[in-house]
Amino acid sequence: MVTPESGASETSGVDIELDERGKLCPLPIIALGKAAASAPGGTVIGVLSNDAAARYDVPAWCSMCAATFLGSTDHEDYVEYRIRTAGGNRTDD
Amino acid sequence: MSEAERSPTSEGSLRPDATPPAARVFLDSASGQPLHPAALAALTTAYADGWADPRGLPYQNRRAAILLDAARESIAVILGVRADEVSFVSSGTAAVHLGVAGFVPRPQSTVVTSAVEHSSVLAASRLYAANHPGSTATLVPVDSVGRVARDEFDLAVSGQGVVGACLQSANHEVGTVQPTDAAAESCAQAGVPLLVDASASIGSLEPPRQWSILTASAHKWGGPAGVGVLAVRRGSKWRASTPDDERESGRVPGFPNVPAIVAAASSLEAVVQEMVARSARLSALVDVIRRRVPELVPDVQILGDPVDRVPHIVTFSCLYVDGEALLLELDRLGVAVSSGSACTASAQTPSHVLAAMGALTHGNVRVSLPFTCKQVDIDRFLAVLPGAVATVRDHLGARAW
Repeated sequence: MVTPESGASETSGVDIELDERGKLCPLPIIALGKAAASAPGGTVIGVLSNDAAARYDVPAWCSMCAATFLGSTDHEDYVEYRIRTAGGNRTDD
Repeated sequence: MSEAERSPTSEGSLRPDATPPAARVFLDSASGQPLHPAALAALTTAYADGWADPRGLPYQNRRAAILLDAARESIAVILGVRADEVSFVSSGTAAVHLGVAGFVPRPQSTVVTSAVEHSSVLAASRLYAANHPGSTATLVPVDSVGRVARDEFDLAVSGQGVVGACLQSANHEVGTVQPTDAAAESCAQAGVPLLVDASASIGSLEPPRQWSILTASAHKWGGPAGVGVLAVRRGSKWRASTPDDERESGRVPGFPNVPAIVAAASSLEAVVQEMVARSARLSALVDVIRRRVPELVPDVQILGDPVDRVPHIVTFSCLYVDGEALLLELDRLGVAVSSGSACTASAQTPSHVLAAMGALTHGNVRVSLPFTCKQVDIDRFLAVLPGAVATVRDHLGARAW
């Protein structure tokens, strides 16, 4: 579920926002991987998730895929994570 | 994960496509070793000869008492303590519960543990804090291989009101050895009893020597389930939290399972005798897994200390993989492993160990080699793993880009 930045995100500078609420890991991370693979380097991606594992897996994904973890914002029933892609391709390709 | 995929495990049934039992490979020894032949032999004998209450005076009772005393002495020698410092309890978890509950409370007590202790330690510490008003349970963080931060541990135990500290000998999920000797020294300086949960390493590494309280579990060294060890050194700041009972030096209530304890001791003796050669052999097999898995599987993170670890445990996480689905796919292919990922049968939250390390929590696989593990078992695991990961990724649409 990829939507262009439209004000849905409270944080400015998010290029792509992924609404992964209600999905369990690894689904939010798969969505992140897919979005990052087709996005140009330096793209800022926001991921909205209420899965407990995302708190650990978004930063871990960043370290495995040479992306930068920019931080997260806690909301009442979900968390927004922000990352910046290093490149447009998966690291193993 | 759909209900259809979940049902085989939740109903405990065997699926029709199950690999024949003889062709199956068991790589989940960290949750329980198969019974050692020495334990089985001892169990049979002890059930015939050691069934009576060891506390009674007649002949049959004295026979049971002799067997129990001999088992206690044997384990005490291996642990390097006096026999009367060793008590038997019904499990490693029960040993931890009683061990932590025995810390002597003060006003505003604090129990210090590493963040990656076995869940029984963390749960016991939280309950201790809840049971003693004003008390707290403090978690000390770990580094990326799961080793406790020494400086922070030292600082935490030297704080006010610390009544006890807990540090495992090695981590049960990722195998990393913890600096228990150094922790024991800082605890001694602070006058704090240190509980070392040695469950993950007893039988695989030399037992830790410096501690006030030690806990262990027999089924992790090839003994029967239902036997834990709670050793408390004389003079430790510790007292039994259970009602008065004469058994087990007053530390553990109730009639002990003498035959199982005898079998546990026989197994530990045998396992320790073979330890040096076996550990070197298993460690080399783990090295093969650590080297080969990243070559065979794309996007994988090998976890834990590559060198300073128990010989038989290796853990890794596969990106874009559902840990439970991978575990079930490997089981379908005849290989048993475990997983620290959320959504696996026992947990809805990811492993606190992986979380504390900052590791990827999904797609996690723990491989733990039984004492009898052979190269051919590892070859089999490595042969089926890449296909199993690919199958799970395909199912999740994770390889379509």
